Amino acid sequence: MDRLDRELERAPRQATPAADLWPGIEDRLAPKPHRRLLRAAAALLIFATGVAAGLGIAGRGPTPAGTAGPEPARSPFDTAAEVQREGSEYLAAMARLRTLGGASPAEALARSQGYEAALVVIATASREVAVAADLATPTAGLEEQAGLVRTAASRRVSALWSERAAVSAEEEVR
Amino acid sequence: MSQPNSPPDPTGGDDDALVRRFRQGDHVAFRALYEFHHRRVFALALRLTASREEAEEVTQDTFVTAWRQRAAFRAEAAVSTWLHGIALRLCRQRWRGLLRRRRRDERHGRESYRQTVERAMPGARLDLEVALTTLPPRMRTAVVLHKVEGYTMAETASLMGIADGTVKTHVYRALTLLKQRLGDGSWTA
Repeated sequence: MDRLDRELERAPRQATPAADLWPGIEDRLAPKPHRRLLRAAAALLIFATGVAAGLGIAGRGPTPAGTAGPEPARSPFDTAAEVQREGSEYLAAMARLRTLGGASPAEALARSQGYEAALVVIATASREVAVAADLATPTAGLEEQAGLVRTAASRRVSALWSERAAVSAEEEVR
Repeated sequence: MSQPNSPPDPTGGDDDALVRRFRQGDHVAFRALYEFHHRRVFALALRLTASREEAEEVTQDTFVTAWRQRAAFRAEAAVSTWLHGIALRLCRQRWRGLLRRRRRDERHGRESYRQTVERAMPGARLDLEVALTTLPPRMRTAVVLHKVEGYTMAETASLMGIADGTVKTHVYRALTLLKQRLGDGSWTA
């Protein structure tokens, strides 16, 4: 073993950073429920807007021959691929919404609004599918569920507020 | 694992319990692992990036990644080896940008690296540390992991994702280049 080998083996294996790195790590790992909720809500809004725009365009009926439509004609394959892509994004947004934490009344309300929006969107979409595929309309149940979600969310938020008020009152008494 | 100048393990016999708690998502255990390992991760990142700022970012990213991937950690490997593996991958992702920056402002970079080493690693041989940063990234990685960190050839090969023979070649060439660059016959004595 020569001198270079020995010096390399003796070289320090530890180094001290100039600043404390832990706060940066904690900050990166801290849950940011509001930001995640906003992202999920934005994803749902974009999807709902897309569905509404699609339904609006479909409601206008066929464009008269010789007049230019708002969009160039697209192949059925492109349109089917678009439906599949948007559907996947909807499912991904729902999965994100499902895994969100946060127990405050505001966060619970935001989540419930997300579920309600999701049910309204899926009900509208299923009606469109039923019309397009000439099926019996399967939407009544979904719309009813959206109403149930709304009612349950209101009750839950009220209960959370009451619970929080009771805890505050107890703390004041102490 | 041969690690002749490893610091004593402060967790002692509780290391397994600490790692188990970390894997279960215990923040206190995570903080304890950080306190014990971050200086070693930082030293490796500093030698591989030759930049204090980059090394600090790599160290933070290493622990953020470790926390997020804690369920994937297999207890049969040492935590330090696992953390070094993560840090190594993160350094690799930065090499292209680092090489560009060093070409642009090489002289200034070396001066500031020398100052960083003086502050961060008291007792380190500055000429040797600076000479290490002149090696091509793979050679530098191989010689730092094998000679400085004390990993065996097989462990170094596993961390780098290359064959043992390639590690041997990198280390041999790195040592030859270091001797040339240090420019002093006494290094071979």
